[in-house]
Amino acid sequence: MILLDTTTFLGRLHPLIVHLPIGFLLLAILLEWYGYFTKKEFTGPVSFAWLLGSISCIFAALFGWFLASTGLYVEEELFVHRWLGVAFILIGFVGFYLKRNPQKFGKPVQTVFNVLVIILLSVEGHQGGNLTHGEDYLTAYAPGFVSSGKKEKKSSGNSIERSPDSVLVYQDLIAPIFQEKCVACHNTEVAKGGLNMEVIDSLKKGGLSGNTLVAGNPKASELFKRISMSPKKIKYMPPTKDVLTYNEVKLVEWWIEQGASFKDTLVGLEVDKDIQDILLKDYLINTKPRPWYTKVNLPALDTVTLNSLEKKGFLVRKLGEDNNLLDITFTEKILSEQQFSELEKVSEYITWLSLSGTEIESGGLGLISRFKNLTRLELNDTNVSCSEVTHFSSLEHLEALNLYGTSVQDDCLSSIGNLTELKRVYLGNTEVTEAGVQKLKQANENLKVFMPQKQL
Amino acid sequence: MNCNDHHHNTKFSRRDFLMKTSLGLGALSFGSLLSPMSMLANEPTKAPLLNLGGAAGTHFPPKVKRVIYLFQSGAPSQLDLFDYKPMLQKMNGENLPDSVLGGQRLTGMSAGQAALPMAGSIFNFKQHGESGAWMSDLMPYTSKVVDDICFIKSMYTEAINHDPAITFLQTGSQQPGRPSIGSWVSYGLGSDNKNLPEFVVLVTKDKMGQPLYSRLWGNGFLPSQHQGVQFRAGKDPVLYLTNPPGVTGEVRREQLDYLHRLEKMQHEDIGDPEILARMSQYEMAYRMQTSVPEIMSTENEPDYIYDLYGEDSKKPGTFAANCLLARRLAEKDVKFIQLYHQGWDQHGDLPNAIKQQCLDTDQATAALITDLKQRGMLEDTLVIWGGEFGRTSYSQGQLTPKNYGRDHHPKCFTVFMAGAGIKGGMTLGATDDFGYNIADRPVHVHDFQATLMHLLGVDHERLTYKYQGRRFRLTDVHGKVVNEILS
Repeated sequence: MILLDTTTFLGRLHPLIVHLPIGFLLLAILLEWYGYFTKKEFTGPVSFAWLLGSISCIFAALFGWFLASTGLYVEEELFVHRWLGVAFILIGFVGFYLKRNPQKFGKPVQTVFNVLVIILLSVEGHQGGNLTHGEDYLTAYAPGFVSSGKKEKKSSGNSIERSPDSVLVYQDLIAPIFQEKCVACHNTEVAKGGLNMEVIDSLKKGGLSGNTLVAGNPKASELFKRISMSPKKIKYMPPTKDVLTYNEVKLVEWWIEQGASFKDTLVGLEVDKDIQDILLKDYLINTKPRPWYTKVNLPALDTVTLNSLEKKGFLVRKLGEDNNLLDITFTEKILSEQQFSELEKVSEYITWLSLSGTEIESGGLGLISRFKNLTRLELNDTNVSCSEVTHFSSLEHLEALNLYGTSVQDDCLSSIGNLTELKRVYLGNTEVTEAGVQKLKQANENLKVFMPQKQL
Repeated sequence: MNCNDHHHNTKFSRRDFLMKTSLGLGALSFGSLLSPMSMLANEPTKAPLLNLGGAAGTHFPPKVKRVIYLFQSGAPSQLDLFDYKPMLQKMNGENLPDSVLGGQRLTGMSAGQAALPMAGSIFNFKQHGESGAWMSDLMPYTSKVVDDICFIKSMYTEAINHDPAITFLQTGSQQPGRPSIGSWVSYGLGSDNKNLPEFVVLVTKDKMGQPLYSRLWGNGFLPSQHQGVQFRAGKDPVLYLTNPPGVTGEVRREQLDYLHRLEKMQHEDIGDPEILARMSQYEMAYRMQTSVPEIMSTENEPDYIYDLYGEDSKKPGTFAANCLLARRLAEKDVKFIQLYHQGWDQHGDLPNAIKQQCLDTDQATAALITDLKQRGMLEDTLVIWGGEFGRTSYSQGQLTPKNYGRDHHPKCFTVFMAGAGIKGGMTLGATDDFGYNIADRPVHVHDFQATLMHLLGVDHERLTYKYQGRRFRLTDVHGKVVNEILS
C-alpha cells in the first residue's frame, strides 16, 4: 500500500513536471532560431537545453506512467499520450545529438526536426490536457465558431442532506455512484459500448448489448450483471481499480428491483431491512417507519397552560424542543372528573398519557376520545371499567395500550379491535381469557397481546 | 465562598454593571457583524441546556423514560457467559499466538507468566430463542429472554483496572470527579416523582470484591441534589432519614420551615447555588420519610412475583431483592436506578466463582425483564447489564482441565440491554476467533454513553455544564450514537 501511495503521489505530480520538458525544448528551439536570426553561434546552450529537456522527459514519462496506473483513465484514450510521451525521451536525445553536431546536419534538417517536435509537443500536451480536464474544457467557453455547440452543463452530484421523505432515489443515491464509478467512460463524449450514463434518457435507451436496465429484474439487466459478475471476467465493470462496493451493488440491485425509476422518492419505494441498514450506515438516512408522534406538527403551547396542568396534579413534559406534543402523567392518587377535564384544552397535544395506579372517578374518561394524537395510554392498575374502554374506539393512532392489573373482561375488548394502528396491548392480571385474546388478534393481526399466566 | 462581599448592599456593583453591559453591547454588535440577519430574524435559537436546576427537558422525543442499570462490578467473563469461542476450546492449553496478542502490554498480574495458555470455557454453550443467541449454561433464566435482549459483544474501554474502568463507564472519565450518568440524567431531565430522588442506587449487601465508592454515583460538579441516593437493606433504607427519638413530624416540619427562612436569607446574601441544593435536599428528605418506607415494603407483592425473582428476593439486600425494588422504583417513575453487584473479579478459580455469581443474579435479571415486559413497562424502560471491562481468553495462573482464571481485558467485553428503543434479539459486533480483539463494529464506552443519552431523548453533545471555565459533558469530546441497535 505504501508503495502504491507513493507512486500515486508522484503520479499526481505529472501535470506539474510535464511543463519542464515542454519549456526546455521550446526554449532550445527558439534559442536556435534566434541564433539563425542574429547570425550567432548558440550550439553549447542549445544542446544543453536539449539535454535538460530529454532528462526531464524521462521523469515526466515515468510520473505519467504512475498516474495512468491509478486506474482513473481509460486505456484507449490514454494510448497515444502514453506512448508519444515515452517516445519523447528518444526524440529528446536524438535532438540532443543533432544539436551537438550542427556541422553534420544542415539547417534544413534541423528546422524540419524542430517543426516536427513543436507539432508533436502540441499534440501531446493537448492530449494530456483533455485527459485531465475533459474534452470540452478547452472549447466549452470559446467563441461560438470554435466550440462544437454542445455546451450542456453537468449537474454535479447533489449531496445536500435532505429529510428521508424528499430523497430522490435515482438522483441522490444511484446517480452519484454512476457518476463516480462509470461516467468516466460512459459519457456523452465517449459512450463506451454505446452506453451513456451521464444523461438519463441515454441510460434508459441503454448500450449496444441491449437490456441494460430491465425494470424489476436485476438479473436480466446487463448493467447489474456487469457490476456483479466475478471481477476476473473480462466483461466485469468497471475495468478500473475503483470498483463498486458491496453496498453500492446492493443499492443498484434494489433500485432495479423496484422498477429502476428515475423519479421516485424513498417513500415511494419499498425499503427492505438490508437496504435500510445501508441507507442508515452509508447515507445517514433513516427510513424506519416513524412513529405518529414525530409526524404531528402543532404550534407550541404557552407555559401558563402547562403550569396550570402541573398545579392540577399532572406531570407535563414536552416531547422535545421541536416537538410540542405532550407526555402527561398523573401524579396523585385519585383522579376526579373535574381534574381530568383540565386536559381538554390540550387534548390534541397529548400523545402519551399515564394514569397508572390511580383511582379514576367513574365516568371520568369520556374526554379521552378527543385525544386524537394519543399513541400510548397507560391505565395499568387502575379501576378503569369496561364502559370506559369503549371511548378508546376513536383513538385511531393509539399504538400501545396498557390495561395490566385492571378488571377488564373479554367483552370490553371489542371496541379496540378496530384500532388498526394498535400494536401492543397489555392484558396481564385481568379477567380477559385466552379466547378473548384470540378474538382480539383475529380483529387485528398485527396486534401483540402481552398476557402471561399469573403463575410462572 | 462569598464572591460578592465587596458590595454588601447591592446585587451588582458599579464595576459589575459596567463590565457586563459593555461586554454585552460588544457581543451584540459583534454578533450583528457576523450575521446581520440574525439581529432581525425572530427565529428561536437552540440554546444548549444550561439551566442550573436541570429539568430543561428532552432535545427530541425520548424512547426511554427510565433506566435500570444492573452494574456487574469486577468484570464478568464474557467468554464464559455470552461470547462463544469454539476455537479456544479446540486450542485449549496452547499458547495464545503473538499475532493475536499484537505486542500488547499485559497487566502486572499476568505479564510475568511464562506461558499464556488459551482457556476455552468449560461451560456448554447453546443457542436460544428465535434470535439464536449463544448463551452458556450458566444463565438458564436469562437464556429464556434472549429475544428481548440486544447484545453488544464489541464493547471496549481504555482502563485496565477496576476503579478507573468503573469510573470511566459511570462518569465518562477515568479520573474521579465528574458526575455519574444518573446525575447527568437527573440534571438534564429533572424529576418525574416529587417524592423520590431521580437517581437511586442499590448495592448488593455483604459482597466481597473490588470496592465501590459513593463517588461512583456522585454529582461531581453538578448541583448536589443530583447525586444518587443509596437505598440500603434493613431498618434504615436511607441513613438519617427518620426523625430522631422524641421529634414528631410537626416539629420536624416547623424546624425545616425556620431553616428555610435562614437559608433563603443566606442565599440572597451570597448567592451560592449549593444553598438551594441543600434546601431542596431537606425537602426531599422530608417527603421521603413517607415515600421510602412505601417503596421498601414489599410484603404485598404476590407469591408468584417472589417465585419469579427467586427465593433470594425475600431476603433484603440481595441482588434479587434489589431487582424487585428496582421495578417498584421504576413504577414510581424514578429516572435512573443503578444496581451494583460485586464479585465478578475472577483471576483464579473462575469456574466455581462464576457459578455462584450467576446463581445470585441470573434468575432475578431475567425476572426483572419478564416482569417489566408483562407490565408494559418495557415500553419506556431500559435495562442494562454489564461490567467495566472483559476478561482475557488466556488463563491467568495454572490452566487445568477443570480450573482456570482470567485477567483483566479492556479490549473487548459484552454488555446487554433490553427494553425500550433498542432492537431485541440482536447482537451487535463480534470479537475474533480467539475472543481477544474486536473483529467487527467496536463500541467505545463513550459511544455506549452517547447511545444511552440518545435513548433518553438527550443529545449528549448538548447536555453540558460549565465548571472551572469549561463546558463539561458526559462523553467529554467523544461518543457516537450506535444507530444499529436503535429500534
